[in-house]
Amino acid sequence: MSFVDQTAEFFANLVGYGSSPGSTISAVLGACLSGLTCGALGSFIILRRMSLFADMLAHAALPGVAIGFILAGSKSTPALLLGSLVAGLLAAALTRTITSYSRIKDDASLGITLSLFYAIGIWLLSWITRRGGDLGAKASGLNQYLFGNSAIITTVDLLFLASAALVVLAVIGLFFKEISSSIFDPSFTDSIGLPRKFFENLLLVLLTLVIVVSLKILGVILVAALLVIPPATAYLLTDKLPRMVLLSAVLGGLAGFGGVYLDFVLLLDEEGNGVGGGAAIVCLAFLGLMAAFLASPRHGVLGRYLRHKRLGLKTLRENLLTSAWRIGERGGELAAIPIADLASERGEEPSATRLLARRMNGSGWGHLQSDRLVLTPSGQERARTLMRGHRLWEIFLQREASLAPDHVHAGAEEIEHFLDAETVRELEELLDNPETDPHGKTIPPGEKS
Amino acid sequence: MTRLALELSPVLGVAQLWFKDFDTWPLLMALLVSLSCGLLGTVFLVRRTALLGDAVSHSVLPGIAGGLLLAGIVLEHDEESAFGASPTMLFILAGALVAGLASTMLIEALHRHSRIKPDTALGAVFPAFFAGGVILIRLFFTDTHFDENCVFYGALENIFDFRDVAPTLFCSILVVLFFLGFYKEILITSFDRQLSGALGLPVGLMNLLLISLLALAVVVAFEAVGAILVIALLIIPPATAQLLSCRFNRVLILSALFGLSAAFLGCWMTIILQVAGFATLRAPTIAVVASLQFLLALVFSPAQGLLAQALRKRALESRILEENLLGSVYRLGGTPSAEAVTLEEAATRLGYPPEKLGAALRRCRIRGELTVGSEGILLTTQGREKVGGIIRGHRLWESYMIHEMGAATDHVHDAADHIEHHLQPSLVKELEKLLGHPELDPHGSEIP
Repeated sequence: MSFVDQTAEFFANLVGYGSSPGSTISAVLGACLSGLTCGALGSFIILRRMSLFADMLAHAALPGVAIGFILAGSKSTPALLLGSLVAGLLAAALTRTITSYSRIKDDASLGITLSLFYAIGIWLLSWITRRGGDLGAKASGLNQYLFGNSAIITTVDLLFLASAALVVLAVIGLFFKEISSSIFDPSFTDSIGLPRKFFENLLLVLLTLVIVVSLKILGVILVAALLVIPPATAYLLTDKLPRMVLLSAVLGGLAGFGGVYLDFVLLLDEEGNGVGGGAAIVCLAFLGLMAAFLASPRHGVLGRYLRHKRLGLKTLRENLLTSAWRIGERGGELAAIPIADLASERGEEPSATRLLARRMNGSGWGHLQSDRLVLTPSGQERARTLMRGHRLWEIFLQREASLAPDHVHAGAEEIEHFLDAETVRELEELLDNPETDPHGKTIPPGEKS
Repeated sequence: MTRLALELSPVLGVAQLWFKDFDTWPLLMALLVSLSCGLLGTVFLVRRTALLGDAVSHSVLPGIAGGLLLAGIVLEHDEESAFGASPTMLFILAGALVAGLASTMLIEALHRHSRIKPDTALGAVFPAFFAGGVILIRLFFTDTHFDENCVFYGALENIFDFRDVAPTLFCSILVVLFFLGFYKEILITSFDRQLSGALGLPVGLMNLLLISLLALAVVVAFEAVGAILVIALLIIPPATAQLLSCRFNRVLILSALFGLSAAFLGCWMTIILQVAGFATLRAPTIAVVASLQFLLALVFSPAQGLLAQALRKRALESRILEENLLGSVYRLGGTPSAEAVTLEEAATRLGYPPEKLGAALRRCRIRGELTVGSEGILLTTQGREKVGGIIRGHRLWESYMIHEMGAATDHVHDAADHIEHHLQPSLVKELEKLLGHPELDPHGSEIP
């Protein structure tokens, strides 16, 4: 079937008219629910620096699944959930034991617990699947817990997922203040008498719960990714915790939906099995993270690069303006400074200065015209403000920071680009409107008032 | 006779299996993989980047799939050349190397150029790479020999001759040579960045080489133990070794030995278990054996083990009890002509229930530090000498706290009570010198 046909089929299934509406609807519901819950809880997890802890817990759930299966003798959801819950909590306890009673560091103890539990899980699975007989036959599909498979979600699974989502969201809603203060300011939390240990353990239990119910959809290896990637994306897009939680939940849910869709459309094989959604969901979420990493307005690489560029250009132009002002002070005509003069003032080759002066174009402060730097009135005004700030700062450094007169120029040269009107006014007040700078040069007057 | 034969038959069966079916090649493969993982893992562990192994082992998957895919496009047919080094293998290695390095660089870029924390970056990148690999495999290799299960379980069982082992052998030799040749550089760049900068050692190049070797080791281990279980061999034997020694060279050697022994015992146990009707695979068994080694070391390590810690704590506690008992008898009995003291009196003075001192009393009596008569407890000369030393330390410390630290007279007793059990003779001598051999303590009692 073509891509378009598959898409049509997918949405037909969603509204109940396709060939397999039941399984598609429960796959989408399950993936969205677990994406949403993981996203919401994950915000706290990454801020609490528990990302790798979550990964460890997820891997560590595997032996629980295997033992739950062996004890129950079937793939009954409650048994497997209980097994993995117990295994996760045991793994958390083992990690703590290792770090507190030996010199092994945090990250290594996570790695040890992870591979220890995971090895036991794989070991048990390899036994179960090789065993044959009654148990071996029932075990087919237990492998699904490795990658996850949204196509095998049953109503019971959905019920568990929905109740876990309800519990997690309710706890987050009820204790939002307490949990966030225990994350951001542990000592404050202690000082106002909140039981911080309780909230930390609460977070741990919720984490285990979420991992365990999402295991069937996302698999032990990938479930932690959904606890980390959407929150990290949201973290790059907003600075407010409530918004981050909300955004990350939405992103998680979207990734869940999109992953199941992609799986249905692209990866479905002849027997109608996709990868199971887990891999596609994680890949989609990761693409989102990469997009935010590049293009987030505040914290993205691109935005920062552009801001950096703009600042560089502004500094370059302003340096030209101050050079021009100095020439003007010595009797030159500020409105049109010859490039040759500018070059000798700056100690550059005229060709280099010409290249720099060309970059004044488009600034509104001036432009290069017939080998002169022509400054507009606003350019001249800016040059005056810069010079005033520069020299006031020099005096400030000399008087208040007790620097020698020949040591103050470099500091002023850097700060002149960042002095705003408010700071300049404060400097004036502090220094009693001086007239000359430490080098004996006149300080350009401020706004006529 | 027949009964004996019957009873012995399982043992004989095992012995037979041991010699006949204990296949050489899988064992050799396992040994080689665990050797190189044990060595490399130690370096990453001491550099506090233990989980980088985790990240690389997950993220080579798309590289392997991509390499295989590219090989299928570029190569007409898979020509098998000498020693298993087929062109396809080279493609896979190159792909894995690229993916491994790309993932570590992406992790680095994510936390260096945005406000994402390093652990979050790690946790975000490697599952994503892994998921990408899974999708590639599902899209392009659904019907080939490329087995998803191999990712998890490894395929030590499918190694039949030298050709399968050759790449791993090559990799292990490379790793061992690297460690022999650059031991000093590895040591310095791992522990002292400033020194390596001062010596002009190429820290960045060393990192790159180590990560490349790691990626190589992970790829060749991929076939043997599976992509995920390789973490067990990268982290657990080094951690086990770290529990037993603090010296880098010893940790390195111990870690290699633990890796080798886990591989050997794991292969052996798989066969024993098979005979016992518990059929498993070699790779996970090896990982479980490695884990057991770690747990044993965690509990029984002579210096750092939980057991040793508990014993040390107990020994200290009972020594403190004994010393407190002696001190209490000494103080209650008076110095020049001692009176007998009952256990109850001694305990009441210390604020303990009397039964808590029973064992301490017994131990002191056996050592001849006190005698128990019908009237109560009496110190012997030996006991008097010992307790004199302790009380001397106690009172000297009190004087020290008042004279040198300016503590108030009524605040010094509790602190001295704690420290009297830990004062070394050399420290007592220094205190004497510092305080000018005082005769009386701040409360006016005589210093013995």
